[in-house]
Amino acid sequence: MQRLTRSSARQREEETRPSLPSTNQNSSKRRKQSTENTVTATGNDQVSSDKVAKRTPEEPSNPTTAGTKPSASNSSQQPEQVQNQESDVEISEIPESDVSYFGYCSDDGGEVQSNSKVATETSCMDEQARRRQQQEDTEEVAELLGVENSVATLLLRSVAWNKEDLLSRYMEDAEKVCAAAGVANPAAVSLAMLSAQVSDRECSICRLDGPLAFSALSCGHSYCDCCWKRFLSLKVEEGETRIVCPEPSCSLQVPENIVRQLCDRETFEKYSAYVENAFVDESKTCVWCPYPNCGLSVGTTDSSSKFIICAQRHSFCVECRSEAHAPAQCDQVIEWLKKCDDDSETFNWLSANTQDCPKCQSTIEKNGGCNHMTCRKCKHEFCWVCLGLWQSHTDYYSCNRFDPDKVKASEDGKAKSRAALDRYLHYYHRYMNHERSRKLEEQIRDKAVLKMEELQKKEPQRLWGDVQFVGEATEKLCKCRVVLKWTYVFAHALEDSSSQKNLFCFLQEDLERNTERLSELLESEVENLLKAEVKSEVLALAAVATQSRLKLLQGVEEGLVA
Amino acid sequence: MAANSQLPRRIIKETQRLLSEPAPGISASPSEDNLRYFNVMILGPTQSPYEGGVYKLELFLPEEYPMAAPKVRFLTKIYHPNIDKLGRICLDILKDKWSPALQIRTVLLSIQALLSAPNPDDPLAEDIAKQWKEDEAKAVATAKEWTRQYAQG
Repeated sequence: MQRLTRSSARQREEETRPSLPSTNQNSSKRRKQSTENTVTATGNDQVSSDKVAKRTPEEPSNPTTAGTKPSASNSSQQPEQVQNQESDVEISEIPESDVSYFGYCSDDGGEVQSNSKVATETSCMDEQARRRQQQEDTEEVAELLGVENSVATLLLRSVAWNKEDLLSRYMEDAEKVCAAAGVANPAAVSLAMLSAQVSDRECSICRLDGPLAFSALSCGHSYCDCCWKRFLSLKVEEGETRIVCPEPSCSLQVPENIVRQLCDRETFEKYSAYVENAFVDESKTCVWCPYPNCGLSVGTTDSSSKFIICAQRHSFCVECRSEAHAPAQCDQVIEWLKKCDDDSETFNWLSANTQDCPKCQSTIEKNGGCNHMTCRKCKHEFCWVCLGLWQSHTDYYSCNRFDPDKVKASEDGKAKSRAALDRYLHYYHRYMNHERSRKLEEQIRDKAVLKMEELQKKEPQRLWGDVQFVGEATEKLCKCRVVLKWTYVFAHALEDSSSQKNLFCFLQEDLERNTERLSELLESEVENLLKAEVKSEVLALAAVATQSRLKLLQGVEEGLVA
Repeated sequence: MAANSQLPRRIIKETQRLLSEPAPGISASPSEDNLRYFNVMILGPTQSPYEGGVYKLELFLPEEYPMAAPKVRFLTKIYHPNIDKLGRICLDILKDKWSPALQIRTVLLSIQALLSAPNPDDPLAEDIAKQWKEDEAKAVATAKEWTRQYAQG
């Protein structure tokens, strides 16, 4: 535990130096890779925000508050930053010998570690890094086996780019590996293109007589260069990346450099691009980002989580390829989405964007992410979700819970199926609601930026940085929203009234309350947000909400409730 | 005949050989106004439900031939799990297994072999394939009936 804490503190130290985004002197190779390759270290974001959350003065019950205060004063030369998220810096300033002093912190470190496994998305290898890795693997295999790079590529492709697997199998039975890859054995001769001018021979494809230049792979099936070129070009045009010798009984594959040698540049470039895509398709170490029109590939090997994030910041689940859906499980998500699809008619009705004010029955449309509704007409304040009085809501926030007793009360012959539907609608309603809220909230940042532009015209002394925290807080808010959304799918799968569910609902309630508070605050006017006290409240709330989020995810991960 | 004057040497040679040494049970002759279009006739193989039948097919060599496969279609109605109502044929060498080293002759021989050995596990005509798997005797009887009814030259 201590080791972890120390190294993560060091890690944080690096990350908080903006001018040094990646220091490559780390000892562990994996770490090196991730600093080099990550585009945005979301996982680490989480770490720092969590850290802030733990140390927020607004949480008097938090045991860390006392422990971390001295460290905060250590860096009092940067009071502005203490307020801000850079408070991590202080942690790294604590000598390592003091680690034991962070009794709670090491737990915290552990918590963050475990959280990053399931809860948080890990950003991984991006396109460039992937290409580099591909190149490195190819070169290594070529060198070890004494073959050309393009033959190494063929060999690697035959085993889904699993280098270690290839090498061990090759050592065992080279002949078998070569046959499977469509490479001549020994692989070194695969490229022996026999090229000769044969004047008196007829090419068996075009049936033209010589003098013609003939070429053949090491299998000896020889065709004129013109036919080769037409053959390869057509195959490339068809998107084929595993081109085999034209002889029907032959399974030898055409290596990349032959394509380069015999085709024009344009065709070869196309071919290379296809082969590169094939790497992602075939390799088990990376996947395509499933978001529409994204087209980026993301490596999965350096991820400890099944949720990963691409360079465009789309986060998704490697296994089921849907949005990152913690705390819900893949099978729950698949079942849920299918159900949502099947019952789409009901949802059309359900997801109508209006509700009637419970007091004056005016039709109300939700225009922000916050659930605290105020009827413009009668000024009645109520909760968008349960339509209950908002006043009675804040302390006894039970609208996230489905109460089976309520349903039992409506006893009639069809009670059971009706109850199942009610139950489902309960969760669906809340699931959709968080999804919609998130979409609306994603605009908060843009709105803030627009507003800032306006303000800057009036008051040129305003700085862009002043509004920066809105974006950061919004991002945290949206993360909470996504988790909240999926908590309802998870809860739907849990048995009602079980102790697990009660515990889960408690955590959910906590997250929901903090998220709503943050949402409400962030929706206020930009002028208001720029006030120092509001800003610090936003930061504190964002931290608290993040903490709630991580607590919930950790709870699920540790099986407390699952 | 202007188009035919540019006919690739490969097609000319193949045509010559098809005419001079026809494969047993197979005849293929180019159409007069388009030398890339062949009228084909395949005799139903002996000991198959198609025995005694004469099957007409059309074969067209696309511009990319021999890099691309010829297009072949049955004109005579046939009850076969790998041949559909429109006469289209499910045969690997006509699709992804095509190789420029194959020829018209090999294609037609493969089709002839397909008549001898229907493959209901890789069906094109689902209903016929189903029948074939459920009650082969009945399917064979239907195929024979169709041969008698539609494939008498």
